Amino acid sequence: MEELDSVTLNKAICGDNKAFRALYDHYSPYIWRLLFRMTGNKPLAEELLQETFIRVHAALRKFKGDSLFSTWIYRIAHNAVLMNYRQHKKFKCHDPFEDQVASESHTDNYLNKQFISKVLAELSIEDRFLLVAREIDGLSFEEISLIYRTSAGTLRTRLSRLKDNIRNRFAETSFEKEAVA
Amino acid sequence: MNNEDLFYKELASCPGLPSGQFDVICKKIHRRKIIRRLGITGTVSTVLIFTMLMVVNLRRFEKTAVQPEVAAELQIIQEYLNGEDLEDQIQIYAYFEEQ
Repeated sequence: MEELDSVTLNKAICGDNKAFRALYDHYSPYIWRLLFRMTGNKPLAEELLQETFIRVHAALRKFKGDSLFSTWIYRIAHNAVLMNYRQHKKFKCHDPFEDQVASESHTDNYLNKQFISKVLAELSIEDRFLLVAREIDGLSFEEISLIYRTSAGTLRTRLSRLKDNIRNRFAETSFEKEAVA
Repeated sequence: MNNEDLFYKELASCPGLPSGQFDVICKKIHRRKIIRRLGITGTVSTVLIFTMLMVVNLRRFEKTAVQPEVAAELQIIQEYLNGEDLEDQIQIYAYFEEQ
């Protein structure tokens, strides 16, 4: 993920509305994808996106530059999701894929889409965060460890296990299909 | 492309970012600012009113309070009227008679 240029960022920190708009335009697609993938619920992801940027606006002056701005904003989004999750105990589970990704889906096979959706829904929100942050947005383990407040090594192991589980899950399905055939 | 690859492709894809979110965020920020300012104003006003009431009450109490000397005199008069000081008087007379 590319960082916002420091001039715009400093302007946003100083309260410049145009710079805040630029900050929103730059980071919102990443945060939106993260929130959508973590919650699997479009209206809730919208609500959390708003909450995240409201918090960012309120806390901008507190950003000291100890970490990358993207790490900082990811942590705010992550905390917003967790807080919402604790308040409501659970999210309304992952909506069916076809309703939400419709034409944007990369898969042609309906059954595959359904199965992929099911696998995603089975993951915990933390695992979804780890997958999106690392595998899709390319955050380093060191950056993610700042968000999780655990060591990078632990996260590496956790992601490796998670990917193994996903691989096994797909392998089982292929095996079942072959058996049926 | 196998299922695992498709899984990661699907993970990367998601619906487009809904439009108008930034305006909603700005409105909410503005609303929260107003609520926060009203809250601060309300708290400060309450503290000021409470302090003023305390000061007024304290002054009124000081004005109506009986001075210690007057209170002591009043106590003596009350004891005399109720006859509560008789026992003390008898003991004093007894002491002088012994002398």
